[in-house]
Formats: sequence, C-alpha cells, structure tokens
Amino acid sequence: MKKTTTIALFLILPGMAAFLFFNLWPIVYSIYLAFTNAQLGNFPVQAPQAPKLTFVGLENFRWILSDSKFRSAFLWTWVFVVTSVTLKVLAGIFLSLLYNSRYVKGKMIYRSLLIIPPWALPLLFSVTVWRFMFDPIFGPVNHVLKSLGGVHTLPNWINDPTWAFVALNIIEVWLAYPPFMITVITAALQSVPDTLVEAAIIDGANYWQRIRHVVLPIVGKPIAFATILTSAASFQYFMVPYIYNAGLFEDKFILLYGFRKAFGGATPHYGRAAAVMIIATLVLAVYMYVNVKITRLQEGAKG
Amino acid sequence: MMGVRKREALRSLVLTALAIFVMFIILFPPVYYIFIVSVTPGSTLATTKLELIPPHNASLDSYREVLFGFTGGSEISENFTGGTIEGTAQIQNGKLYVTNGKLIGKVKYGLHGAEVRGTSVKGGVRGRLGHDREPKVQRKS
Repeated sequence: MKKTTTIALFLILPGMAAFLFFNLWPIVYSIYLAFTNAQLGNFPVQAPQAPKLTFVGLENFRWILSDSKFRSAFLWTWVFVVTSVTLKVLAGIFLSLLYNSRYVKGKMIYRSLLIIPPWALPLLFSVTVWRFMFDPIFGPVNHVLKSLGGVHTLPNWINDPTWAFVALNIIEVWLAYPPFMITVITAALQSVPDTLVEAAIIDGANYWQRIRHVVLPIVGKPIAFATILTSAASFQYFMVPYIYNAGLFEDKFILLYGFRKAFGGATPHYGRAAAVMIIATLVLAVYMYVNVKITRLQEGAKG
Repeated sequence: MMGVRKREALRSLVLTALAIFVMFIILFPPVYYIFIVSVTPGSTLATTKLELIPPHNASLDSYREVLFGFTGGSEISENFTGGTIEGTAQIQNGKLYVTNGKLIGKVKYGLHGAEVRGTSVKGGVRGRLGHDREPKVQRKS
C-alpha cells in the first residue's frame, strides 16, 4: 500500500469511527432488537425474575401485523399523509403565487412575516398554543364558530378523534407551509423566465392559461420534490400528536404507536417497538423510491 | 391607456388587500394570539369571549413576573389542596393574596403528598385560582 494511501486512511479513521458509532450502530442495534424479546425486565439489564433476552425470529413482526391497533395506525397514517400533503401543497402553491405576484405591494415584507414565525417558534411552544386555541371551552376557534352561528354542537377538537384529526391537519399545514413549501415553490417560481410569460401574454393567454401551461410545467419538479419530502415527514409524524393528545392518537400514527409500545403501558416491549420502526422505515423507503421513479426526479442528476 | 392603468391599480389594490388579509389569517394563530394572551391578566384568560385587540385591562404583569419574578412577597409553589387559611387574605385579579396568617392543609411535595401544618405567613404569599375557582396556593422555593 502506498504511503499516501495509508496516511489518508489514518486521517479518515476518526470520521469513520464517529459515523459508525453514531449513525450505523443505532440502526444495527435496532434491527437486532427487533428480532429479540427485549422488554422491561430483560433489557437493558436482566432482572432475576424476568424472561431471558433471546432471539425470537419474526415473532415480533407477526405480533405487530396481527395487532388491530397497528393496522389502524398504519391506515390512519396514510390517510393523514394524503390529507395533510394535499393541503400543504395547495396552500403552498396558492401562497407562493399570491406573494410572488407583481401586483402585490410590499410582498417581501409579507413573505418574511409569514415565513419567520413558524420557523422561529419552537415546535413545543407552537403546538401548545394551538392546543389552547382548539380548547373546546376557552379556545378562540370555538368562539369564532359560536359567533358565526349555525353550529349547534361545537366540535371537541381535543378529545373527539375525527375533529382532533382535522385539527392536526390544520396545525401541520400551518407548521409546514411557510418554512418549506413557500420557500421551495417561491424559489421555483422565481426561476420561471419572464420571456416565456411575456410570450404567452402576446399569444393571448390569460392568467390561468399562463399558470397552467407555462408556470406549472416549469415548477412541477420542485413541487414534486417538496411533495415527496413533505409526505415522508407526514408519514413520520410524531411530535405534534404526542404533544397534542398522545393517548387519543396512539392508534392513529405509526411512530406514536411504536413509541407507546416501547415506553408506554405497563410492560414496555422494546423488541416490538423496534419491529414497528423497521416496518415504517421499509414502507417509507419503498414509497419514496416509487415516487422518485414516477416523478422522474433523478433525470438530469446523472452526469 | 387610462383604463388599463386604472385596471392595473385596482388589481394591485385588491391583491395587496388579499395578501394582507391572508397574512393576518395565517399569523393570528398562534403568533398574534400569543401576544394577546401575554398582555391579558391571568384571571381573565379563562373566558368565553374572543379578544382581537388587547383587552382594556391589559397588563405587563406576565412579562414583569418572567423577567423579575414575583415581587409581592414569598410565593408558595406546591399545590395547596384541602386546607384552611387563617389570617388576612384577599382576592385580586383571580389571585389569592395572604398578607398575614397561617396555611393549614395538604400540599403536593415530591412524589407523595405531605401534610403542612401551621405554615406562618409573614409579608404575604400569593396563590392562583384554578378553573374550579378553588384557591390553590403555591410556594416558590
């Protein structure tokens, strides 16, 4: 081996060690746990009365797939992905078009005001405030509904599964549209050449025709990219339902279900929780791969 | 030419107004609401009225308390439940002020409740009223 190669290997050794320890080791260890009966009592320390930590093969996966709560969580997670991503993309496109319009005076100020707060406010703080806003008795959301009239029974946004799910969608759209969707879509809109739009105007295209046939085909790929990433984030939704009402959403979000399996209940079962995480990761990986293929995002990326 | 300019100006006015309106709709929850709540006295937070502008009795008490702490005497921070208060006490803005007296009852202390008997109050302590309007006195250690 050349001397320079030896020195290079020696120099990258600390980086490699850090990568293996902090990135690879937790993944490998989680996979190992998914095939064991790790639970409170035998993991991480073996208690005398507890069953021994043993390899159980696919038992955890079998148990998880036969659990009705897991199936419910899996289904509702996808429902949430569909609803929240649709809302986020539509809100993102609408707001980006509005705050990118040449007719809007002071659009840069509005854009900054819209983007900074949801980005700057800590998630815990935002969700807590939203929870207070959706309070069925004292929350301003129900005050507004009450004052609008025509609503006989005010929705219980905190404890009713359907209304709480709607509330989560609203919170998610609020949290995600500015930092991510507006930034990506606005950047894409600003890359649309003025000459193309002007040519369309000369050809007699109206506003909607210009949007449909000139702007959207150009910004399509960035929107597809943002949609795939944001749907992955929606699939991994955990923090907001956990803060909002963890008990209610235990069988509605797959990661929350996995977390409660590991750290909630009388007997935390780490092996089953790890199995949930592996299933979630595999499903998400397949979903993202299929989407990247469908939208042909990788085209042009290869040199 | 004038017609086109007029139409452009009108379009600009309408879209700018829409942009401001949408911005308000988006920023009201929770950014503006946080501000309103921060200047609303604690006792009037649990209300069924929606305040869009800072209330008439707006105060900076919350900011003062966060920045400088409670300055009206000592503050009890454990939940004081099912006890009696002897001495001089009064309720102001939903807060219970005991200026000179004795607290007798149970307080939450650590993992298990503890009995507190005959805690003397000198110089004043302050408690809060919960939703149930029962006084919950808290002591800050």
